[in-house]
Amino acid sequence: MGYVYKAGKGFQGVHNHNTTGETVMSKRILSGLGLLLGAGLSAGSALALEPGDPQRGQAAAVTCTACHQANGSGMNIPGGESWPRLAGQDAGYIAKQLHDFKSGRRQNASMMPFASMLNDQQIADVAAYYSQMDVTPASGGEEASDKLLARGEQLANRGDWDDYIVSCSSCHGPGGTGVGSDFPGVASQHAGYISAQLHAWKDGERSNDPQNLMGAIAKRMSDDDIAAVSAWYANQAPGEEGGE
Amino acid sequence: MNISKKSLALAVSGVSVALATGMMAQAADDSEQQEAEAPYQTLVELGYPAPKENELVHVPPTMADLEEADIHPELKKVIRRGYELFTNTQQLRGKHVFNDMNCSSCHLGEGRQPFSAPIWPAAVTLPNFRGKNQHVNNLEERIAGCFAYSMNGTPPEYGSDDMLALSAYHQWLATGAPMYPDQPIYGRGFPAPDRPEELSYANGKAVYQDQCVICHQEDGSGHYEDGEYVFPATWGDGSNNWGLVSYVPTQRLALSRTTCRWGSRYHCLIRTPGMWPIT
Repeated sequence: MGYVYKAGKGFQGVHNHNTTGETVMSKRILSGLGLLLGAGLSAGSALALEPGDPQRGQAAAVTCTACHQANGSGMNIPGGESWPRLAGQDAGYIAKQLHDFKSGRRQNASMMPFASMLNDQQIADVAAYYSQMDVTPASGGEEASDKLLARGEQLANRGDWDDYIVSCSSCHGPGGTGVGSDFPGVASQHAGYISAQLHAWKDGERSNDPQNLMGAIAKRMSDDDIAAVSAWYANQAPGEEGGE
Repeated sequence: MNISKKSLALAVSGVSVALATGMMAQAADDSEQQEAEAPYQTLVELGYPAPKENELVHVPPTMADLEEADIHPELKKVIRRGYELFTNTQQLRGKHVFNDMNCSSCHLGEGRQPFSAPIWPAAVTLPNFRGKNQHVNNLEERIAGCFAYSMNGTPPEYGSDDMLALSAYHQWLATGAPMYPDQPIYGRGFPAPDRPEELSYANGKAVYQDQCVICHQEDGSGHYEDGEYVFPATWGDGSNNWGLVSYVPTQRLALSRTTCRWGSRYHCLIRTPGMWPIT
């Protein structure tokens, strides 16, 4: 079972189509992509794929900088579509998202054409390029009230079991700095982006998460909960431990 | 306790009973009252059993309730300390704890969560006879057992500040619940799955690789960041020791299926003899 097959099927459903292939896929991106692409994406390039190279990635990323900025900081855009920070994000995670944009497994009108311009090698290179940048500060949490931030911190570090919302840190790691290639860093990410993604999961518009891990939880979060965690994580400056 | 046992059995009363001590003002609030009418509705929607008519349903108070409670400030301090120890038991590492776990790793929701071995029942059902050690245990001995059997540790001494804090936290969570209840307790322990007729190592492996590897890794070693687990090891020194694993494999399996972080999936552990897969 290969990545592309799963990707196409997985987009249609939340629960049943994104289990084994998903898990195996992320491991394989980490370990070199060979088997992954052998499964039918484009056999020709698969054999030639090298580990991601940040320098080649920089060249391939020229089209990315218009939104994601030269330092990978992205931008919080109140009332519009925020551009996520990519700097310091895990390379395997970035690569998976780009593949998913390309295949339609993750749908985004802005990203689809740009991801489609990248071949598999360029995806690996661009992912490597952004992953080795320093994490940049985020915006969008400046105006949040103390009460909202307290709720955000609660959800981030302890969760709210009365609503069966597990803490963000139980997957995204202490401080929300990310765990491996499946659980991206959310600390110092723009509030507008976090909020948009959680709403997308909640509304069933995003479903490329492994095993519906994020989707199941997002659906239990209220709009206020989403605003709270978004603001709280946006306020977690790089290098600071957001954990307890 | 001047509330009849019959009323305790009803879900709505369970909450008002829980709120009865020092929290009546909150109960009067309309929105809370609304919420109080269907405790654990979220769980039921997730597929957990609904409370049965004869069951004792208790919603333990939260730490926010503690701040509002009309009890001595010194007691509040001790209960807060118990909460801190319960949710960050690793602060006792090297002294009382020798694996990577916290009390709240298994007793989810800070010990308040039904079907995740909520801890308040211990406060209202002990002292009682315990088959595991064949004598009557009190609350402190029960907590000590958790340190010895589940934390790979050495219990805090009876009567010590740490033990007092932990038992006070247990008792605080039981606020309003009847002592020695004669009804079954809703959500007590972990719901153990039925043993399938045929056990299959291959199925267990397949399920593990399908569902578990993403967090717990191929070899079950879990995932650690800066020495702290994000996803605990499924076996070995950092995980629960024999008390929970070998002695009562069904408990371990039930635990894994309940503590599964995303709530709607089942775990399957294949590393420990006696485990069986849920397929």
